[in-house]
Amino acid sequence: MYDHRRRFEALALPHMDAAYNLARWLSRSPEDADDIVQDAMLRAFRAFEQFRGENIRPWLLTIVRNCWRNRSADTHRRGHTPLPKEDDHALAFDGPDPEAQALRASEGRRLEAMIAALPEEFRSALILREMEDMSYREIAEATGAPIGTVMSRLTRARTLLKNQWSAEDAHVVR
Amino acid sequence: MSCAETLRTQAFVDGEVVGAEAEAIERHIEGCSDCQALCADAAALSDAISAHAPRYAAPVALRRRVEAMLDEEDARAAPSQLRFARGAPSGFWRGASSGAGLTALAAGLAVLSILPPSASTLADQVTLAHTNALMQGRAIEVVSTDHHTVKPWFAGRLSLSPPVADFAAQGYKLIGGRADRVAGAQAAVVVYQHGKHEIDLFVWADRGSILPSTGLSHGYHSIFWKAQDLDFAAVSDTAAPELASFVNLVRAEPE
Repeated sequence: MYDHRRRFEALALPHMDAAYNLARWLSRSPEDADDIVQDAMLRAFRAFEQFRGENIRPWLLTIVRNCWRNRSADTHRRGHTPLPKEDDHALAFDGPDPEAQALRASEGRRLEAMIAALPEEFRSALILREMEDMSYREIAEATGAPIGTVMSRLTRARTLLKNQWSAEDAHVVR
Repeated sequence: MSCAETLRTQAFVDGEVVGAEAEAIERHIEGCSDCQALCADAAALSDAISAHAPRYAAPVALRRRVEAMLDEEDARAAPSQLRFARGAPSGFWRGASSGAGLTALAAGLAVLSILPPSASTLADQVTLAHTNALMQGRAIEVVSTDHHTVKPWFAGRLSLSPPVADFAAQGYKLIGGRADRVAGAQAAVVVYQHGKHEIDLFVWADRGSILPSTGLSHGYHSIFWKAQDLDFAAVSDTAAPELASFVNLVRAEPE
């Protein structure tokens, strides 16, 4: 068991930042993210014997996402989000008041708010691609979606952000 | 976006396409303003995300809780792991005071240990010192990016004089120092910032003890070496290759 523990520490613990970052962007509260990661690491440790393969990160992040979904299912769960139309500027807001978000001063916070407002499946794909530098295949594994779907979600996430950014720059109030 | 190649262009931007197919897409992009715009927008978004969107790191307190959770899991499973073919499992602990029980226990522990006890303890010790200082908010006692300030600060407090250099140009920025203890001895700690990670460089007087070359404890990497009558340990939760690069910089400094 010590050997099992050492192996887990060597392979899985270095990805705790990636796990926490995803949990934060999914749940958007430090306390929830904390609970999600603890839950995920426990499940991962117990399931670690069955892990085969070289690349543990997508496997671990799948568990993180599942833990988040289990928590969301207990409380408010948005369910499947239909793809917004191409010219639809209104992002599906799941968090704080959109007007308050729009009033934030810095560009950085604007961007942060816009990403946080993306539908979850677009946000996850974007975060894993841009922040964790994961390949399409890895993102497909971590999000349980086919590669083609990952590609179209990335396109939609990038297009939505660009449209929202341009709309705010032109002082279009949503 | 009217071009039919946008998904392939995006794949190219994301580094998913290589070789002849990549060359073909590049040729297409050269002649397609839609795909050029896509490339420019994707690059701008990547830059903006790097600059403005936080990439959160697991808090030290969370790492500690995960560690404690692993300890609990170990404790739950340990008795069954120590069972061997000889002896009834239920009588194992009751039989530990007898000669046969102690032999089996010792054999079990020998199997379980991976490193010599002293070496694995040292990696644990420097990691513990590093994370304790972070958690208790006393990671830095002298705050300075100037080695002309930090080095004399040590001289006023410790009997040893650690090498203090700034590697900000290579991405490892000197941010200060503190006095600490490791392996029962007083140690100087030179503190560096690398991206979102802190690196502690422990320096203490060599007393002839054996050092491991590397360690991994609770997700923190450590690298050990000896030089000039001093023992060194670099500890961080940054990735192992980046810690190794830092150590190379430190060791290459003329003293």
